[in-house]
Amino acid sequence: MRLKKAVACAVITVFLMIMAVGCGNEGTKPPQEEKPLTVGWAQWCTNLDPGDGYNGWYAVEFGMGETLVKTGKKMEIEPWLAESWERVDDNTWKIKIRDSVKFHNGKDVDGAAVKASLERTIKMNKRAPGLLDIASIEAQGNEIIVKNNKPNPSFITTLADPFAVIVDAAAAEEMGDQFMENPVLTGPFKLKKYVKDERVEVVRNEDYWGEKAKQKDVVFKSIPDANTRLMALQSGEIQVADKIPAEQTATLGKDKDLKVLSESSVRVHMLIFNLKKPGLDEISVRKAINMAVNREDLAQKVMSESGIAAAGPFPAVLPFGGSGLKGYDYNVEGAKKLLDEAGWKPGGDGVRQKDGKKLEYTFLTYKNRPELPVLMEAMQSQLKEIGIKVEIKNVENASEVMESGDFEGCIYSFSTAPTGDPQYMLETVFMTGGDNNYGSYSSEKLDALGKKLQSTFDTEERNSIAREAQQVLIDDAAFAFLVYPKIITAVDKDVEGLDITPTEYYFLDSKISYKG
Amino acid sequence: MISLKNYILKRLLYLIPVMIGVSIITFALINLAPGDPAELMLRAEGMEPTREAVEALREEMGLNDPVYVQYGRWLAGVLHLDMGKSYRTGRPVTEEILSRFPATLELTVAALLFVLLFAVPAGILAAIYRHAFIDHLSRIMALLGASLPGFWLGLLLIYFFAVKLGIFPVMGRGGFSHLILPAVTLGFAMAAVYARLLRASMLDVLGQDFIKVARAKGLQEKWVIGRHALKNAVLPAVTMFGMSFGGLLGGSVIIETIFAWPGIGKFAVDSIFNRDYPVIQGYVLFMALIFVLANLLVDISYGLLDPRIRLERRS
Repeated sequence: MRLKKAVACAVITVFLMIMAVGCGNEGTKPPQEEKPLTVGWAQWCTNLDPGDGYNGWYAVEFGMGETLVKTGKKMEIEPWLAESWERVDDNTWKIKIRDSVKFHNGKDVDGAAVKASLERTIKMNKRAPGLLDIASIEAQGNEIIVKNNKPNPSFITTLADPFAVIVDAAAAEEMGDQFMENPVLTGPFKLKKYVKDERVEVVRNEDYWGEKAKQKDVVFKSIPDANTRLMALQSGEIQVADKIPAEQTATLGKDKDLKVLSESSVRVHMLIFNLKKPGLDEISVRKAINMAVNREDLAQKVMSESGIAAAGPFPAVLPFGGSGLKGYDYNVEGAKKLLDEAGWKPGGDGVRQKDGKKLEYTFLTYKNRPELPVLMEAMQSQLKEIGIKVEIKNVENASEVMESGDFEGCIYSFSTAPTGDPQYMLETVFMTGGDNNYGSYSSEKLDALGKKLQSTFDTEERNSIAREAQQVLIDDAAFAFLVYPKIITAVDKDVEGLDITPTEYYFLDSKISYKG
Repeated sequence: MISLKNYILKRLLYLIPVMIGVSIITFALINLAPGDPAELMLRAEGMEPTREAVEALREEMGLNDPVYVQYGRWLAGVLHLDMGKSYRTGRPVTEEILSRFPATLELTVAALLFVLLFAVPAGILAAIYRHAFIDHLSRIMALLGASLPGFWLGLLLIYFFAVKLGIFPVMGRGGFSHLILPAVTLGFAMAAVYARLLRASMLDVLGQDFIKVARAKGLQEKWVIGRHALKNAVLPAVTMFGMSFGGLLGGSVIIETIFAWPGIGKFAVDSIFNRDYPVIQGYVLFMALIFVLANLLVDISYGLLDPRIRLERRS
């Protein structure tokens, strides 16, 4: 009898537990007139407050949040909530806000509201104070006058960073922690429902200042696994799947109900050399490595056409990127000749050597971006052809190892210019002493160009300085710029108006619609 | 029953040194592992942070203090029932864990139910019909269960049952139908092992004298199996069961990722990648507590299942 009782108790407990945890779930949804567009998203927000960490990215992706300016398809700065702006003097900007903009709670967005929002961002976001470098903001009607601490030519482009999404700061103050789950923003969509870690439902903002959204309801679901995202797309549970692995695109291409959209990102995968290590301190060796790498192969074969062969650090999609630069052509014989002339002769084992030193290196890679170790392996065999032996070492935190200086080379991925401005990367990665200049590259010519950029306001001139700086980097062969990866999104054929932009955080806008 | 109370009390007291030990080991390990939480926080989406910004944030987060000072600060907080705030989300750790735990518990309990529903009949039948078709089938299932990786099985199940047949949803948490594929994926390996375990101990028990006596006195076979054999055969399985509950909870990490199940496992892994120390500490402590409690429950249930153990304890 006792056993029976115990078993019965156990069974009842288990059912009670299931019922208890099951209470939190909703049942089936009531039928809707118009089918919602459902989107499967790879990465996910920790909350919905745009000022907090990187959550602003999601506010913009979900069509809820807007910044004063945005970067367009060609990575040029366009007005968004701001109608226009002008530089009063080197340290002062005057920005005019659109007249008809309202927050989702009906309040007007004026100069004072924008000032409060920017001040809130500076207070709460760790990256904002340094990047915006604001001394004071003054609100006058529909205008704000911003004073920078020092001349900051990239100020306007920095305002496109999603941490600067304009929020109703007064409401945020009032709502306290509630604001994280129910932010008050300005976009063409407003929040309908937020389920932490699971999904965000948005609905058309009928009082939007611009063109009203075509689609009424959109649901974003967190689906971290790429295979699951694809299968959810194939089963019709979602209509858009972002960040599709390159090797899947061929299979998807055969499915008539789906289409694959791709666009260059603003990212570059590159090889960083430690210029303090013997051999790598010689320009001829670095040039030979640059010539021995078959970038077309890496982009087309190794990355299954999901990459674009690189010349300089900035992708061609940027106005100052790629095209027009003289990069390195694939030339194995030329590379061998270069090494021969520099006195590096092949030894018995095929590895070149000079004065007892062999061209043998350990290059680092990391798994966060799965294509990097594969690219590194492909290069390992390409470099072997010219007599350079490469060992590959996988590390978890590559930047930390490089920071310690104890490395020879590393394949690394940078987001080069998410807001469409070259200054940040030139300063932190390439200029002498830059915080992320891990290989200790130093060039007077490049430093001079970087300095010039810091005080040049004219966009055309800035672009041309950036191009010149890249050519210096290429000529010095201080790095090997390899490929610009593409952003790949798979979509149901009935989804219209979806435009993939190089900047990862623009997605839902007024034009997208789903006629399922 | 006083002794049982004392026993439970004693076991609960043991929890304190266990927890302190676990927390010290975790704290030491996460501090030994490479990776700087401040830098990772600023890096998040691939932008490279400046050295100044990282240093300022380290100072603000108290990461420049010696490790024992950091541990002391954390322990003092815990004694005041404050596990700190997550670096990544800024929310209290207790809230972050408790808000996600129900989803994981739901999945784990469903997986356990599946294990029971599958393993108990399969184990008994395989023992009774030894070397017959059903026994071979259960052996093959056990082999598959032990050798198929969970993520692969999960993807396979999604492909057939969700994409091709459209019976179940591909992913997400929702109604009962959402629960089936992840629960089967999570429980399959264990169900297969249990079925074999139960079969072995059933065979062992069925060969013993008291079963022969039971049969000789003309007891119906269903009573022989159900009352005499099963009750004795189930003990080793109960031990495993208690330990596996924790294993299932921990093993849900991959399943949660594949099925986009909003549980604690994925959150814990993200926290580890981001070196979110307060969350890692809180998670490990919480899981240790559950492990210990599950084992305690198993020990108590022994007494209920087998009077001999109760007597031993009393003496």
